[in-house]
Amino acid sequence: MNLIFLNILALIVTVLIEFVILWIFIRKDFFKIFLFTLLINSFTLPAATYFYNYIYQNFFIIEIAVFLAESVFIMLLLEIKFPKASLISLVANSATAMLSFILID
Amino acid sequence: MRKNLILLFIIASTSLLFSQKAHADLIVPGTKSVDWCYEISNIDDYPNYVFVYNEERVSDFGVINQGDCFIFYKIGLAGIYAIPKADFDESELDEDFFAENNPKLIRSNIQLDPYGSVQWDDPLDKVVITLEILSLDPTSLDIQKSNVTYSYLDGTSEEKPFQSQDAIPEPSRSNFLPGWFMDSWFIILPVTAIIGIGAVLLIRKYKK
Repeated sequence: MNLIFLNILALIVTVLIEFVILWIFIRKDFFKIFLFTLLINSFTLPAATYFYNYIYQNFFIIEIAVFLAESVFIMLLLEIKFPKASLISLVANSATAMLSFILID
Repeated sequence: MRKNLILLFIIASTSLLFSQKAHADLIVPGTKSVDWCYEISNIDDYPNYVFVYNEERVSDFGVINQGDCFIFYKIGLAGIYAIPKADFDESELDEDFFAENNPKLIRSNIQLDPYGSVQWDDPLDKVVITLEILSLDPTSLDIQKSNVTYSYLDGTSEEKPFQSQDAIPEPSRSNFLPGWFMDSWFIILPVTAIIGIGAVLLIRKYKK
């Protein structure tokens, strides 16, 4: 499959999954949460892909970095406390990481 | 208890940090394997001989027929041998058959490498390296690499002749993702996103 299409598809799927998880936790401001999810993942997904493929090929370290970065972004954008932001980020990134493992296999 | 947890976290983090090194024959993350194989173009010119290959590390061997494209262990090195047809019994073909003192074997001058892996976004799909028998007599077998055929994911292919026996000709195409996409995806998109996040936070701050 075309790699351009795969990259775009990965972003769309990640945004949708993480949006659903954020929505389950927050349950208000539907469009705002979607916009925030889109912004966060438009930063973390290409950055993570670039680091993994060209700089540092360690899936777990990159996932931890993404989890931490998204925790901070979620905390700032949704104006919630860091522990809750971390929990949301952990659930969201675990879900997308597991999905990526399933799809790769 | 807390000290133990911190220690456990440090050990786990350190092991994760160093777990990126590839082990043995695993494919390194960020790369992909491509199908590769070797073929001999003119076996039919030597009807009185049988040709076999042998990779010693894992005892990977087999008969090579005209038109066969053979492959061996992906981190091994393979040799090619000829045996007079009258002396060859395929059931004898085993690890010991390739012993130095086997008088039936005519050893070639060539040693074959596996092709290996390429970068994850490389368009290469398959590599066929064609060998040519230059001469064969009861004591020596002279083979050379004549050309390599690269097949790409989009169905196109190209053939390149070997200029030197020590270096494989490079494929003409090596990067699948075009520059405009690389720039858009890995620079413009994340920079725009971080500007967007910053803008949201700034607007909110000034509204308060």
